[in-house]
Amino acid sequence: MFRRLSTKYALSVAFLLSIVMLTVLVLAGRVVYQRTSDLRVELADSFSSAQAVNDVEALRASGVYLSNRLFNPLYRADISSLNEEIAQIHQWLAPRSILILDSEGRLVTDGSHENPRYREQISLPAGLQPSEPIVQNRSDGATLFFVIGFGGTTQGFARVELSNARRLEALRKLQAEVDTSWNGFESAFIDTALASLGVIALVSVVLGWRLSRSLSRPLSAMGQAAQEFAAGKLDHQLPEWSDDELGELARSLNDMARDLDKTSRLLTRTQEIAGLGSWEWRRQSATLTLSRGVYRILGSEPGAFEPTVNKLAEFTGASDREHLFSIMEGRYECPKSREIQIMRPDGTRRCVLLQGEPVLDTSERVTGYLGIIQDITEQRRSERQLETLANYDSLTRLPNRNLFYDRLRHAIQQAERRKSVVALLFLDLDGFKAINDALGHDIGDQLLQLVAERLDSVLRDCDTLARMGGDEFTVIVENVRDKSDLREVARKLIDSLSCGFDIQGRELIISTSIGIAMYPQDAQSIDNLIKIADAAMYAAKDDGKGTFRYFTAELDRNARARLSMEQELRRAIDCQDFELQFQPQIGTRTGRLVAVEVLLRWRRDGRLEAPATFMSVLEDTGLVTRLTRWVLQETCR
Amino acid sequence: MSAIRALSFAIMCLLWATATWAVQPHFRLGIVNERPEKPDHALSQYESMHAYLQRRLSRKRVSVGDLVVTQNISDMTNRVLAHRVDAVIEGLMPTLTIERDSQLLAPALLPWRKGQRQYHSVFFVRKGSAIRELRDLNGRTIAFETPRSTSAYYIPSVTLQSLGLRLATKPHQNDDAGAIRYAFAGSELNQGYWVKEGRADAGAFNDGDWLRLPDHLRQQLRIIHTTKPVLRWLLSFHVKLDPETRGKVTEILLHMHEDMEGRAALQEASRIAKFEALTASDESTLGHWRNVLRGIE
Repeated sequence: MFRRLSTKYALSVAFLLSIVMLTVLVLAGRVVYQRTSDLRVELADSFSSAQAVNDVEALRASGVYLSNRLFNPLYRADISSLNEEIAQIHQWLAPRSILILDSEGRLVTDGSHENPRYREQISLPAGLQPSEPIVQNRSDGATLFFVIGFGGTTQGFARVELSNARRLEALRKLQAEVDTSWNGFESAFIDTALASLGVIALVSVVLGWRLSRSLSRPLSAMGQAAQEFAAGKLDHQLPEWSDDELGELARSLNDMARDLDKTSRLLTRTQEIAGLGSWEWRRQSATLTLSRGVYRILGSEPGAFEPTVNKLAEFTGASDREHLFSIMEGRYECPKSREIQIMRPDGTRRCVLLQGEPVLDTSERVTGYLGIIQDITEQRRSERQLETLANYDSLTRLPNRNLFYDRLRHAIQQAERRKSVVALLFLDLDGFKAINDALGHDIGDQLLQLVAERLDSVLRDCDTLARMGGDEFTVIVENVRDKSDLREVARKLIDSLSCGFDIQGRELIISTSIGIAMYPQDAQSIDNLIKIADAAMYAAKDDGKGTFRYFTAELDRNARARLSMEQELRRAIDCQDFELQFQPQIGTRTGRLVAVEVLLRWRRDGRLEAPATFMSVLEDTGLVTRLTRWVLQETCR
Repeated sequence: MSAIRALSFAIMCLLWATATWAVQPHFRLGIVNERPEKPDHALSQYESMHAYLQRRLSRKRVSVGDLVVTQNISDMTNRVLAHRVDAVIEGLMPTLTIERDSQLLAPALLPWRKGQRQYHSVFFVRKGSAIRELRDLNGRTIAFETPRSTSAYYIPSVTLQSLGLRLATKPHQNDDAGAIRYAFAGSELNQGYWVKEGRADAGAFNDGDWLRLPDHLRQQLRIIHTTKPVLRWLLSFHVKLDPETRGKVTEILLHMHEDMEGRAALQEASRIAKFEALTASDESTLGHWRNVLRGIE
């Protein structure tokens, strides 16, 4: 609770308000308390002073009054009445003593029944006159003297000794009352202070709470909204309380949510298109969250099953489950991906890429894992198609030149490690060009497909048959023990084509010439191995086609010679080192010129070479086409 | 018919109640105010006692009327004569005076006033005075208390008169040289002081008051005569009061001091301790004073 911002803020504000109000209250209370305390003393002093003055004035007035009142009983010598008067005076003034004296200053009565000092001479102050009472102050009170008389007649005197006791008693009572009032005031003051403290605390808490709520409620709402947003509920909208910063922040958050919603929908759509789905596994709660894309990949609908790793594992085969658990439950501390196979409820299999990476908190502790699941079935299919296109001949489905090179390279590497022999058989169909030219490419292609099937059917699985292009094929034979093995393979290949091919109602007969070269005996590199196999194949063709030839040193020399001649011929074509010799043809019956025979000659090293020495090279290398064009132009010119 | 019977019954009940109320006994107590200048003095003294009687007598089906307070003896005598009062509480001499003048009053109970059942009046003079006996007072001045005082006026004055001495007709009157002049000092204490100071030659009052004088004063005085016993206070019934009511009142008064409420009421009424019935001795005393009173007529 105390971690909540509202509580902290409320407590802070309440504390601050309490301090401020408490300070004001204490200062005000101190002034009131001090002033009232001072007033208490001042009141007692003032009362004492006023009482003293009042007493004196009252005594003087009393003296005049008593003088008149006591005159009659004194005049009548009515001591009983005097005693009654004295008793009355005692009730009024509570004097210490009252003495009634005769005109000579002798005691008539002191008010008591016993009156023991009767006739005792009592001293009187000088200058005592009728109607002019004298008050003599003493340390313990005052003494009132007055004349008892009527008009100018003096019948006697009275001496009233007053004690401070009454005034002191009054003061004491006053002080007691003041003290009682003071105690009441103190009690009320304390009660009021305590009540004020309570009110202050209450008001402070209420105000603080209100203030904090005014700030924390929007913040809390924003926090909740953030959680809603984080939970994917981006349609949640914050109330925009005001036009202040909080309102602006709320609007910004709403805008952000809308943008996120839009982005999320785009992302979802993108994931749909890309076949992607995302997942998150939280370690603390052991909960798995799957995006709609994951359900879609799994062929299900959101909510169709409880999203758990175990449930997901049910979609996979046994071999992939361990990988699934490893990645999704975060057994790796670094990003991992794995391609696994799943089976949808409808029985279709899909290939998916499961990727995951740990989620770390600020302390670099793993709190969960998240990643994506991508349906890569089509991608893998395309890749396989591309691979097929790249490595296989689209017509015969045999490995093409590219894959052939790979496999030959691999076979040579294996042979190097195993110290074994690899043989390369280079096949060229005899007369295919003529068939292709005569019957068209369709027939040619079908023929090639059937030839490939037959060739492949007689080879071992470990042998590689490849189409190099056109009507050329190669066979890689590994772990060759001796030439007899190769001879058998070559014979099977030649024999496989011995039967005619029925294509579109035509029976086509074709054979193949095979050149054989071996690694490492015949060549040390791939290119040379191919080249000498090719040379051996030409040697086989020269031998009459439909046969095979091993590569030999002579063939190598011939090949080199042919290669040299080829290069010379190319230069000769470029430099037009050929000549045409025209030989007319005369009809024997008519003796007339019926035609002109053009004879081609090659000027080589200062002499003219007849076509028989170089025509085969021209034909094998294709240079004959270029040269034919030149011959026709020259002839027709 | 039944309605008429019910109405008749109701009227009968009403008539019976009215008749019963009309014949209910009534009792009125009379007091002579000791301090005529304070009309409420007697009321304040006897209010509680009156209320007590009201409550108690009402239980005995006797109604009690308002206190009858008069300013003097003659007024009370008139009330007795008119039978507007059924009982009077007074001192010996006033009672005997009303009895004599009305012939309708009969002393019956003796209240112990101020704790006294009876007393003596004493005549006193200054020590060293030449006055030795009452007859020496001729031409002298005597200080009485008040004209309403039995012990300090009535008894002394009738005592002096019974001896053939003559009192001046009015206080302080000096024109009759052979008479005893008298003055009212207002209180027994004043009487003492007056005699001591020579303002009067003699004084007379209750022997209890003599004992209550200050010592220094009493030591300066000397008793020259003591009267026969005087019953302290008397309650007298009107002779026409019906005996049953009288009996009920008497019974209540005789037992009044036995309960707290009654004692408090008695205390307020001149500090009466209790009521007693008159004894033969009391009757004898009364007879003496009747004779004295008759002798001075």
